[in-house]
Amino acid sequence: MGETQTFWSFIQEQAGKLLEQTLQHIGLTFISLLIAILIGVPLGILISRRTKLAGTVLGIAGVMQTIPSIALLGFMIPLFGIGPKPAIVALFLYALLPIIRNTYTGIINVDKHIKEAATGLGMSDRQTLFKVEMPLAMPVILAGIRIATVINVGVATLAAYIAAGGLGEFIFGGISLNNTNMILAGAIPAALLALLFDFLLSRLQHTTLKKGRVVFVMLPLILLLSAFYVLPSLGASGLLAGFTPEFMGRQDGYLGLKKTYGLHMRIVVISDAVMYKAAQEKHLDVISGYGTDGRIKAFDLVTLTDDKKIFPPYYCAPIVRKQTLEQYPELKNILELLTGRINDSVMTALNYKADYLHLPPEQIARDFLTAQGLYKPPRNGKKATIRIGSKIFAEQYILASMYTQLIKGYSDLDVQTKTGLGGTKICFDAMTNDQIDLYPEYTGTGLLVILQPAANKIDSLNQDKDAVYDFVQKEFQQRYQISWLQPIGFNNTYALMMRKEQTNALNIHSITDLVHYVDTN
Amino acid sequence: MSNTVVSLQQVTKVFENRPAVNNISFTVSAGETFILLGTSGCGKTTTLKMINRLTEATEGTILVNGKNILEQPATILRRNIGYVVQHNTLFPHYSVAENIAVVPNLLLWDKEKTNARINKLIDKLHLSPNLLGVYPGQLSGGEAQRVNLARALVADPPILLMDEPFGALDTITRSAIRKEFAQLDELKRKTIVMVTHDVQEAFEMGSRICLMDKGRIMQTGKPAELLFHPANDFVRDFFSESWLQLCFMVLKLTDVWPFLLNEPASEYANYEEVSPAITLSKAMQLTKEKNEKKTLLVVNDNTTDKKTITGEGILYAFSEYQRNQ
Ligand SMILES: Nc1ncnc2c1ncn2[C@@H]1O[C@H](COP(=O)(O)OP(=O)(O)O)[C@@H](O)[C@H]1O
Ligand SMILES: [Mg+2]
Repeated sequence: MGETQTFWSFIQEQAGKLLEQTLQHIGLTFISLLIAILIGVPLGILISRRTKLAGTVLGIAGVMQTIPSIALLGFMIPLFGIGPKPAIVALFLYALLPIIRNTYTGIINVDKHIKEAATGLGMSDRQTLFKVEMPLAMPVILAGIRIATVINVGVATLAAYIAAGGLGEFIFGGISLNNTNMILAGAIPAALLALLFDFLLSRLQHTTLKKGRVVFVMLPLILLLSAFYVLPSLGASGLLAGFTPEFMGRQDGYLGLKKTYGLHMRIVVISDAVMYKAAQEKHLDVISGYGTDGRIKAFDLVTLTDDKKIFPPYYCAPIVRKQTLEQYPELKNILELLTGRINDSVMTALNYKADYLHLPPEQIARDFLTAQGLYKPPRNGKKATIRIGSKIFAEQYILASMYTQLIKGYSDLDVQTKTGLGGTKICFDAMTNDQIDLYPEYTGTGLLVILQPAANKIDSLNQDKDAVYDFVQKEFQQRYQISWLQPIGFNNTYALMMRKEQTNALNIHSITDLVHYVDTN
Repeated sequence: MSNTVVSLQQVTKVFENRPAVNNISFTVSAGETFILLGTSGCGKTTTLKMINRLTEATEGTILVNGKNILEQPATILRRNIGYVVQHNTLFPHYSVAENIAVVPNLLLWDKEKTNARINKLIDKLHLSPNLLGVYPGQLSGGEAQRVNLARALVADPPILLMDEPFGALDTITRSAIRKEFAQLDELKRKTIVMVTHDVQEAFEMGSRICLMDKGRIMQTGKPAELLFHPANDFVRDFFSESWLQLCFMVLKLTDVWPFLLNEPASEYANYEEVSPAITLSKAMQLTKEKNEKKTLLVVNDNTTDKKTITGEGILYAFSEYQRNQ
């Protein structure tokens, strides 16, 4: 019951933002759909006339659809930058196949005797197309547009990854922040939109079948819906910041920046998967990164000093289900073999190997363990299987690999990895639901994302490394029967980053410098 | 010949290296019903479709009204040639009236002229005006084929191409509609090229028949010529099964007149006066109608003498006629 109330109060609180995101979402969906119709239908007609081209055109459009959405969005950045443009292009590419394919099959499958009759009566090719083939193919074409619409409503959530807005901002923010209300506030409207448009198009498909008039209803409607897209204001000048959905919603993120530093600048929401690249390519000037990310080194970025100390410590330590530890007590010593061996710069260098040199995490882990004299060949024990999880970024993959190799080398336990769990909430839920036994977690995340204590409690910890560790250790043990082992040593805290050459040019080295620069320019 | 309407000269059509129609030639005169007859796959449809350019000939020349069909836009050519096929090809998204109005609309007729013509035509074709607003999905097979014909006839094209037009109908409807169509004055004035694989239908409707096999013409001629002067064994064999029946359908009393015996009148007999232009099968049918008494026909051709004949007399005359061929 409490859950429901907070959901409604969340909706009420965020009504303005929700409306804006919904309109952006509708706009994104329909602008791209409109372009896909304007290009896809003529292409479908073309290949129904020159069937030799059909295989090639459908093949290319089909390949577009098999590219994972995130990857496609990633490819768009070098070509179109960030913001609505690449999102619209990507959505357009997804919508293209169903529209071309259905136009083509719709026309091809019109009874050949009826087509022949049209020709035999003296209709020209054009007249046959517009008076006979298109009207008869219309239900199939509309079905294609329906499919494309539903696909687009879904994929448009990912637009939040590249600063194009939409309901994905809530969904991905909510996943990162472990905020179910926020996830639902994005997911429910997105699902409702998909159902609504599917329903409306199915009505259109059936009511006006007899006549070709359906086109005259649909195009203006789509144009109108496209107009909802109030382009996120990328037009203005000055420095542009790109923050992850998670960072946007956090006290130790954007909220703290506003409160403690009084930072007010132009901001877009973007995924950390593409954020660094966008900063390097000068689409963004300031980003919210992680202190040990390999891309800092790779892309020649520097972190700004947190002179007012708003970012809490994020010391990394393995967290393990208490039940697992009790069953296999040997695990504790094995997992703590890494303690004290990886500091910030070592971790950054390891991440660099993965993010920039693209070495496989297993190899990076093995090389490191070997260099440290820790590596032992696997014993291939079958005593039991330990399930190791990891979040979806390089550092976690590397750590998960190290733990895998250590456990296999030092015990008779087998290991199964469940890597690529898309965020803190997913990882943590997997653990409490007995899907994984351990994964590397950060003290700050445990504090602010999972435990979410009252503000005065957070203040009392005073961003102190040991105080935070002690607090999360005690609370996790009590509340979730999860143990925090010894921290590894590095602190992967949040940091604001800029291109090195720009910090020198503008003389910005701390967050206070940045605030000062933004305010005076 | 000035009244030649359709003329094919050494026409060949090759599909994928195989000739579907192989070096055929024929002419069709104005007002004729020219039948393309043959087993399935022998190239009838292909031949027909080359005339309105739904299929382009690989070789040879086709003239319509003395003009090479390649010398005018295909669309213009087709608007002057009615085309009816076996399948229901009415446009499902158009009402019956809109279907019939397709060609008038292409020819940019005004609404009144179109409507007047449609009303006249559906009356001739025994279609109810209530059907005009209905969509083709709701029509019976017979109705659909009448509407199909109306659509082909609406602009009064001088030439009509028909590809097994009754093929999709059940036997009863089929012969009923066939008889009805044969009576239609709209059709009597037209030059018709019709495809069929039904021998009965060919002989009932055709003024000339062109028998095809494997893309080649076996024989072209009047029905009686095919029966009594077959050009080769294929033609002979093709008609052997129903030969007698076909002869009786084709021959008229005038054809066998010299061999008909004038029989003495009997007091107990029925009499019926008939024209010598009726076919032998019709005459036989009349002598059998009242079966308990022998019927005598009084044949009166106005110009020459009268003869009183019996069923046996007709059979005798036919065998004499055949002996003299
Ligand atoms: N479009 C086509 N492509 C290839 N072969 C065809 C095509 N149309 C007809 N044929 C072939 O040409 C031959 C004659 O066909 P058709 O004229 O339809 O015969 P009919 O009407 O006498 O049954 C058949 O062997 C048929 O398979
Ligand atoms: Mg045929």
